[in-house]
Amino acid sequence: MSDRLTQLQDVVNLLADHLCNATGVLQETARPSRFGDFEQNSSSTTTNVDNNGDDYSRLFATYITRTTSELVALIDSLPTIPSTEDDLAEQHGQLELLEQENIAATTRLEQTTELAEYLLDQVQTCLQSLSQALLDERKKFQNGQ
Amino acid sequence: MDPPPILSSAFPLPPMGYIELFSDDNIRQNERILQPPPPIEGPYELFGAYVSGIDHSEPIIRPLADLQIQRVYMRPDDYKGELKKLCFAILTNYLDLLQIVSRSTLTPSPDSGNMTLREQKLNEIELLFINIHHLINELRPHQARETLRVILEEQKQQREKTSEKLYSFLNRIVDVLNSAVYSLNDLVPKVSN
Repeated sequence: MSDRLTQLQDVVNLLADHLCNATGVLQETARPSRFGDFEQNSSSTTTNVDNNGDDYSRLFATYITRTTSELVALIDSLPTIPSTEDDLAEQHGQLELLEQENIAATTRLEQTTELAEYLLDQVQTCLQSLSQALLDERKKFQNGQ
Repeated sequence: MDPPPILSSAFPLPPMGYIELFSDDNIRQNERILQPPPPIEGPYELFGAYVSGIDHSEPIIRPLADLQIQRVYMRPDDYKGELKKLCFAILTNYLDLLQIVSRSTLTPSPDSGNMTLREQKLNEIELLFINIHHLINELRPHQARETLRVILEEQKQQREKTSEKLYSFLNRIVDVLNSAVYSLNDLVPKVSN
């Protein structure tokens, strides 16, 4: 699922492919055209249907119109694009503001992490002293007994 | 006793001479560490061809179509309208081409005596396609800026959320510790010595 601009470029290339393929295939599969008043004993069918019954002109017309409507729908779905200097300056300002806010959020996170590490340190020290006291008590109790 | 198995790896050894430069002592002294090379200025070689460095003063991200190719669309104020106009221009030119090719292929065009009408029409269609692609490419810097904005926004949200959660956890921990200390004070009888 690529982004919209790449999709747009792909659809444009697809349209170009359809145009080229249409001319090529129609030129290959077309029935020979009539000369002026020359008598021809070929079957004078008015439709351009191929041997297999495929109507390439109608098929390619469908492809091309479908691709074009896809292209137009994609173009319409694009968001508004800043082209004036004011819009560009506004966008630039927004980016700078976001960067500042990001830096502030980072410092806040760093401070909170420092606080958490300090608290962890304290709790570990307490646990250590508690377990040391417990061990000493047990030793004293065993020695006393 | 079996001899210890000889470890053999399919990959080559790491560059020991390079790793030894970054020993703990060296990092602590901070003197003999290998610094990364500074960015190259001026033209350099890339895949055998010489490429000049990016010039940040000019808007080289979207080079002008006036370099070699004629610009067909009007001023880029209304991107969507211009894109649609180009799209329909491609279709009308294609219909013209079909008409030319079906009627007469070899008549010389009235505008330029060298080319036939068919070649001229083909060149016009090629020009239109190049223009539509160039117009789409001109939107790329804007897309890059918007992507950057979204990424910054997401990062900020995530950092703020993480710090909030961590802070609330720390408060809970402190509360639990305080309540434990108080309950301990209740349990331990006061020693009056």
